[in-house]
Amino acid sequence: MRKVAIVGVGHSKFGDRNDVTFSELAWESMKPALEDAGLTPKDIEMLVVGNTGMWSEEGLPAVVIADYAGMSDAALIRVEAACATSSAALRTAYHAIASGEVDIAMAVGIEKMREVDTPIVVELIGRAGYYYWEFENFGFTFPAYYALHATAHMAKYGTTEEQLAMVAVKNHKYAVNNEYAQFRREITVEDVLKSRPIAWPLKLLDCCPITDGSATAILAAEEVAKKLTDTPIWIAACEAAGGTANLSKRDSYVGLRAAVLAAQKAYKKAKVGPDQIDVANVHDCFTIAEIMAYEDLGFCKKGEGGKFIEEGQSYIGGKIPVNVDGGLKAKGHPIGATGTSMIFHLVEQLRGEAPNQADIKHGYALAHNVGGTGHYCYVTILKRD
Amino acid sequence: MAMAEKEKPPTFRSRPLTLIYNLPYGKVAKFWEALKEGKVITTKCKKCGKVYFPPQMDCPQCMTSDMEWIELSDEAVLEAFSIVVVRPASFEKYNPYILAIGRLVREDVKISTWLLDVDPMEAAKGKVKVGMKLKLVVREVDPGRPLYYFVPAE
Ligand SMILES: [Zn+2]
Repeated sequence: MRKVAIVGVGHSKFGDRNDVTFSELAWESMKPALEDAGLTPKDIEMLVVGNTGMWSEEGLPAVVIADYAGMSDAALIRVEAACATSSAALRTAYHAIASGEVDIAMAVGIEKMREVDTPIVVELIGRAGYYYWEFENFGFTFPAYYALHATAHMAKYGTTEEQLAMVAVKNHKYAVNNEYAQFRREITVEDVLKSRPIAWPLKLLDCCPITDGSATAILAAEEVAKKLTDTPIWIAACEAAGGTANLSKRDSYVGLRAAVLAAQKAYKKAKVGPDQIDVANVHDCFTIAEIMAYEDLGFCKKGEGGKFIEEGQSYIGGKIPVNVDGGLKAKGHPIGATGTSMIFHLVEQLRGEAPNQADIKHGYALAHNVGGTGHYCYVTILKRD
Repeated sequence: MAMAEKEKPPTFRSRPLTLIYNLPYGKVAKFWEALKEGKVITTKCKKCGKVYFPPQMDCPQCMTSDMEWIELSDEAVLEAFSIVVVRPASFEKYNPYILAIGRLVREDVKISTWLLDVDPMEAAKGKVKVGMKLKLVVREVDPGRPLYYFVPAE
């Protein structure tokens, strides 16, 4: 297998983007990524589009985007892994290069969720589990899937609603400096606690918003990458694991097995441990998800995630800065774009160009991207020279 | 969330699309028939003894389809719950409902369903606790459509 580097990244503004079409939104992150890499559309041998779809009108997103971007001759593929869709796109592009099939590939994550009404989005995301057994008759919703984990975690470890709120407070604080974020304003623990219940114990401000956006990463083989840039960001590991479709088949509800498995594989492949990670983006679609991520990734012991945020350990200056771009919570969560958005931010961090810069000591950054409720998990570890 | 209302950009309304799927249930028809008699049954692999819920007619562990139907016991323990306030479009006709995952004590399988007979507003105030005892019942929340639910055991 060949070494693979990220040589260019781009990001669109996240939020309500009914001012642009699907293709225009994709191009908003593709163009800066191409400029960052010093490449043109014709240089891209393979275009991997991560898009979950349903709420947007295009059934063949890769084809539509390639047409708009002048890349129709490239090898085109669309991939799906729910909210981890563009991590799956990144992994697909990574494999194509590592295997020697292509030298330059682009992974575009894009989601346009606000073209339909909110109850329809709630319906469509709720169906992202086992439709037949958990949605059809009982209407499990996406916030509720995580709320189930929150009640279990609170019962077993004494995690509190205040600790959940602290995750939202941190992520909103960091989003203020992120020009791409959907919400750029600080909130307080009290704001979160007072916000209306969505799926108790999760309240509105425990939940990520419904977002449109795109983010792009361009990958290249070692020899090509060294010619293109002085600061290649290496993919040290890009690993994945899955979880049962039926939540009822899970062993427990205090963590995500898929995340634990993917993290173990990624640490092994990259030959690092959690202590060598300088900065991380974790999947905080709901505040409880970030607390479980601290534990599943080994940033703290099982059950101590609530204490971890309460002590400020995931702030810059703490044990490990987490989601200092605002996270899904405040930056927004266009589900198919979230994986490459994490990569965008971590590349900025490793280059030393992030709006909220962490101290890079070991040269490693980690992205933890969960699809559904631990139905998929992708853990990517990036490294700078 | 209080967002400054901006002027909405111009959009076209697309052609509408209505999607209704036909969901086959032939292989596990017995499960749905038993519910009409007030029973919750499921499948068990005759070779390895694994109990499947939801029922399925294939045991991937043994690569066999030699399954038997068993009636489930009704004693369960609550493992996780949530009160769904913001409902999906197709569930808006219901009041807020309590989702529960309970583990059947005898069979050691878990079931995802609604917890009935508890006011959802009271559930958040300590009326419902992880670890509480539940009973598995068959009820018709929608008349003519019997389904399996949990209720508090006491
Ligand atoms: Zn078997």
